[in-house]
Amino acid sequence: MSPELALKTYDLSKQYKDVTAVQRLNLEVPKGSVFGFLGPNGAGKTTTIRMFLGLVKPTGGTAEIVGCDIIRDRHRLAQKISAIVETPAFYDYLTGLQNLEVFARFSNLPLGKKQLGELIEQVGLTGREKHKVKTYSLGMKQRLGIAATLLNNPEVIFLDEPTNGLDPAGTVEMRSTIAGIAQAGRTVFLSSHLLNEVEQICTEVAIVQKGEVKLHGKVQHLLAGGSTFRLKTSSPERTLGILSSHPGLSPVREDAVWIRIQAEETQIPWLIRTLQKAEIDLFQIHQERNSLESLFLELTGPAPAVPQATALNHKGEQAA
Amino acid sequence: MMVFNLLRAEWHKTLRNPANWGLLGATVCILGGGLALVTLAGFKGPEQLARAQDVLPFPNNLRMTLQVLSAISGMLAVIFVANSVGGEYARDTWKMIIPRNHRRPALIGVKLLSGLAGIFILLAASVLVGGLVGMLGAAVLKIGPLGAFKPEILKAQAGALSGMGVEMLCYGMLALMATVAARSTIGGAMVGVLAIPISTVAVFSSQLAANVLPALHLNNIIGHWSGNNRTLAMCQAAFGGEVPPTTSLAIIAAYTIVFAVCGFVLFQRRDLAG
Repeated sequence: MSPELALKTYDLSKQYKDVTAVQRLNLEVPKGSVFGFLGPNGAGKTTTIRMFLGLVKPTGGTAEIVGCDIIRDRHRLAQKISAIVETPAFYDYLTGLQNLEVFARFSNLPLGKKQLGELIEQVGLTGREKHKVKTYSLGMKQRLGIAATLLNNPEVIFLDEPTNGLDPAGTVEMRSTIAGIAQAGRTVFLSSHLLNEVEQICTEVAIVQKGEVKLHGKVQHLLAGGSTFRLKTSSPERTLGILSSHPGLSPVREDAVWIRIQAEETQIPWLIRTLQKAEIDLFQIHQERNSLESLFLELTGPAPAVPQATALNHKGEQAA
Repeated sequence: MMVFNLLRAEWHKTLRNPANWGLLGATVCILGGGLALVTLAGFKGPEQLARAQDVLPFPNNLRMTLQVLSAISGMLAVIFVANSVGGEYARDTWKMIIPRNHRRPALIGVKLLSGLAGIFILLAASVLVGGLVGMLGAAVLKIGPLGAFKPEILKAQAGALSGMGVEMLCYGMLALMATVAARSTIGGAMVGVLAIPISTVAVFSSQLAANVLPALHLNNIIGHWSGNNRTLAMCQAAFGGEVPPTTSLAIIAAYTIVFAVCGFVLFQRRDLAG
């Protein structure tokens, strides 16, 4: 495995009787990246993470994380990785601090109160550390979960749906916490089906479906590939006429104002000069970015149709 | 060092788990309540007073304490182990522990050790409470808190305690296996708790069951070690002859080992898929 990689899988597979949860998964996660692991529900994301963590045994292939094989080098690996799988689980009859003490001992790291206090402070739970976990909100449990993942100062952190169940403020807070973790040079492997979240914080992404990787690459490359531009000019009709004579641009009138064309970035200066010569004012031009959502839907297919609510007009009658 | 840290973590949880305190409270209440009832009955007439005189003073009161504990010790072990192992499934905390420490047998091992220490404390507290309540009852009835000291009483009680230890180990391992198989406290406790009365009924209905199942062999061991002739006579009748305690001990050891191996192997091999 290349030293630049934090994680590499080799045909990693998991079969449950007649159900294939993960099928010959091949991933490469660069060190220091925030890696988004995307997929619809049931795509095999959690099973994959559980295999990395030694909770589930692969039925085929293997993986290496920071140079440790997930099957043979579990002892060494345990010191280098950490995780929150789905909702973090705690002993609700213990306080936040006591939970951290217990998990530190399970990691064979008898940390002192001072070090634990620093972690508590880092995740913003100071003042609540001596309260029982059963009194914590989900957001606080997530923060305590982050503190628990940082106990062993891991090189790679796996976060499986870390914002599930959080309110918008909690989601934003979690996002900034993840960014903070990544800034310390750690690799973050983030599994999610929240595309917006992944788009905002991840540097690399893989999309899986039915246990197979459908797409894998840097987020900025995947999103920058758009070649669609939208124009707003003083004369849409004349603009359309001029552009239609140029092969390859495929101009389409979207509505009374906007025209959509397919073009390379290098063609835009020519386009501006041409409109200028024809004395057409160009008010706006912008490139349509690819979104992870569009990529995701393209690769995994649209969600099953949900019967639409019948539209009613303001009088409560069914609209035509 | 690693095992020491695991033990400390586990003990920390055992000590603070309210379910364990509930179990201790319930056991102590059953014992204290039983001896308090004997005390109250002592006021009813000379026959009941004579009975109280036999039961309440120290060290005789330990006999009743141990009889009560002996009746519930198997269930105590089942509930303790099922709660300790099954609680991790119920809270889904295995997923927090195993990535930190992949040595699954060590995790179960320290749970059992910690459980053993917990049960020891529970027994010690019960014996202490039984002794104190008995002496208090004797003082209330004005029969003197101390009875005649006979070394054979202590010997019998030590034997009964050892037998109880064997019983708890056997049923504890059964609970471990059942809890890991069912991946839940309820599943493990149900199998364990049901196995005890069912096998007890079975051994008195069939000679084959008496010889094959662990229930009567456990009684045979306790009977021999504590020198309880009534228990021995009951066992002899059900077995259809005398069975040496070593034979019973070998059978119980076999059961215990099979339950433990199944529990450990299942836990080692099974996925924690959530």
